[in-house]
Amino acid sequence: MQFSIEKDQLLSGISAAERFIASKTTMPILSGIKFSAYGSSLELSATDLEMGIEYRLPAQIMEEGDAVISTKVFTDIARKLPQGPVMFRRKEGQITVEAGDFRLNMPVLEAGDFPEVVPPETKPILKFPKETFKNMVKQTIFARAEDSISRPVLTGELLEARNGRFHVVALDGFRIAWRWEEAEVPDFSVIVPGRALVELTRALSDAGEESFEIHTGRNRVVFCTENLVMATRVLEGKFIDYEQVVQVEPRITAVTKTDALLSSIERAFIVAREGNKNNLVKFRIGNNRMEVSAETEMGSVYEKVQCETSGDELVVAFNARFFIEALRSVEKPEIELKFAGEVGPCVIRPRNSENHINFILPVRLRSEDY
Amino acid sequence: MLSILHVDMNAFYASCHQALDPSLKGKPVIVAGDPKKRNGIVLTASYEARKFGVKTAMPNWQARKLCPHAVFIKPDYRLYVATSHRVLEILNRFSPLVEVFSIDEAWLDVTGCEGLFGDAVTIAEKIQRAVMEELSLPCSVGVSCNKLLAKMASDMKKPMGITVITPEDVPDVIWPLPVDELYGVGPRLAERLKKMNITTIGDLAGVPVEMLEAAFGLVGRHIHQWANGIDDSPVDPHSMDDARSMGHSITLPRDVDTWDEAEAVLLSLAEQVGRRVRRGNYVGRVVTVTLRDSSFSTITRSSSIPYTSATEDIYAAAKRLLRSNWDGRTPLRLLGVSLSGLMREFDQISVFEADEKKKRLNRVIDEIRDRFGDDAIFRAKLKSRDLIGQKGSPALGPLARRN
Repeated sequence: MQFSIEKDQLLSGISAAERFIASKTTMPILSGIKFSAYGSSLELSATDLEMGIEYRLPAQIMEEGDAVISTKVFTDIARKLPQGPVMFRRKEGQITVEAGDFRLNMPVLEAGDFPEVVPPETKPILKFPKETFKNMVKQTIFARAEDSISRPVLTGELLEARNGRFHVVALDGFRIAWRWEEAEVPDFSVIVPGRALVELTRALSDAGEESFEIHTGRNRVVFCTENLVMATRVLEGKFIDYEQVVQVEPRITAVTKTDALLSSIERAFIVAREGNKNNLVKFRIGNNRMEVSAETEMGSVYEKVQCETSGDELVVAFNARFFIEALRSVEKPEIELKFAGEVGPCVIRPRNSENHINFILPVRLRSEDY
Repeated sequence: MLSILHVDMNAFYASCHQALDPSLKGKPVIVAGDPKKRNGIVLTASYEARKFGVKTAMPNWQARKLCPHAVFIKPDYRLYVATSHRVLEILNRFSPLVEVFSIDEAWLDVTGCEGLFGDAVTIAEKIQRAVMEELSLPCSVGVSCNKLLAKMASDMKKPMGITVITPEDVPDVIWPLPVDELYGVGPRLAERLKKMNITTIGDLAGVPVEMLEAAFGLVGRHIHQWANGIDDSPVDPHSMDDARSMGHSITLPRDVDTWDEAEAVLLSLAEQVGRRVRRGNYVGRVVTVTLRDSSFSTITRSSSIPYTSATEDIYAAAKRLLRSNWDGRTPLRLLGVSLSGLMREFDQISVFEADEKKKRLNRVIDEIRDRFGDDAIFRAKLKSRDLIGQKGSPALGPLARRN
């Protein structure tokens, strides 16, 4: 194997690949990046067995072949290489990396032992605009469960197509964040680990094209662009019927400015997060206003937020963090909040838009908290 | 002024057995670990046995030598816990402010209760009489103006004493006592104080506080105040629920060396922890397991789980920790389970019915136990396990202690 590649190109590939390397592993091969030089391009692969990436870069191939290079030492040196072309040359068990007058010699790991990153047979299920998808993930991923022993599936996000709509949904049992877009695709449904989605959106940023494809096969889901293929294990299990759950009969509806309500809850949160009260903020909704209040050992806050209300007055409490994260994901200046009651959910939508839904369940108030 | 009471049950474990079985009354009774299985030690000796020199923590053989006709009884923690609850019920009649300090000690603040029951000394007499008449248990009561002096007062006359200490009494009554009789001064601290020529509480009270602070930091300041009879801490009925961690451990009556038995004990401990956590309306996220083997090497291992108060979740995490830190063979002599990272639970509503069901089940079990006693209901896994009490109900006491 022998090839030459520009340092900047090499670095972009390494930065993308090294995020997929297993940090703790008993298999030394997984601490390496696989370099495959065939045809007119160099492909970098990395995987921790849960998820993996193949990143294709333009390179000048003199002799085809592959090698797995341990990232320890190598990635740090790559960053410090002088600008210009970098030459890789493999001779049996050694790799030589040359840039200008600099030369590095390292043993290689055997490429034959490197696990398969992408399953060979996958079927394409969706082609979708990259930026839109990244935004859909950003607007939902905060609502997934950080860790869940009883329902591991909740640490992932649901990607599914139904009736001409593509849905991205995250939920942790206390709240649901749901975004959808029109898309003429056949129905499918996969649950993708949250960590993989975070890495995917990051890797997609580097990818050149406007859109990407989703493929599935062998319990894996594969995201690909022209020069990038990312595969991850899917989570087995089912999400609750979110579409059904968010259908609520409102006791009171409020329309207000997103920023005004968000800053008010952010202020209340500073007091609410002290102590051990679940970040409890209390809303009194009615008479064209929402009163936001919180009280802990550190003090108490109270604020009136103007809004248009319709329905019966209601006092209900929520975990402030859930509300803040939901409101921050809203890009429209006005929101509509439907409150179902003291122990019922609040459903938040940007005003005059249907495809971005946040559903938050309240905290049951005890008598002394009223 | 004199409105703080400290109630100290006399020879509590032994007295519980004497109350239960009148034939034991007036006889030397020694509650001790099973002498056949291990070198048992004396947990509590009745006053009749103490006359012969039998003391707590003495090996069984020595106690038997001193008092050959004593009745030896194996500890029955269910009995002590149940009895302790009944004592607490009596105390609660006299004041809403009752702070439980341990299974056999509690403080009462009776400020403002005088109109109903008489002055503090009268209330002390009424409590002592009620506990004796209703439960056949002796207790000593200390009466003073703060918790510290009340506690020292209850120690003055045992059994069945009522002692009043006023701040004016401190120089005469408290200062001549050896320094290790002061609350907060253990044997090691006493040893260090002795090197500073401080042997009595009076010596300690007379030393400049700066000197103690330089030597012992904040502790130095506290013990100096206490030596002078000063204590501002309130009687706090919730002192026990406001903890950062809640745990139980049990020294096993015999070594455990099978998965089955170890897991049954863990479940029992998880149940006790869960119940306490739920009672305080907490949820926690860090489960810690303590394992001590027969060579006394002890390890603690923790794992984080989503916030919970459910016995099932605590047990599942504890079991995983056991599975990955024990070989299933090495004999275990102590097991402990605790839940930390506690947060006040305000009933965050969940979309999952199952969660609600789990919560409801735990709530119902707790209610049944609160109403009908700890042995009214128990989990099938705990059935007929001698390790954790006759009927598999949770054990509590100095060997199975709260921490």
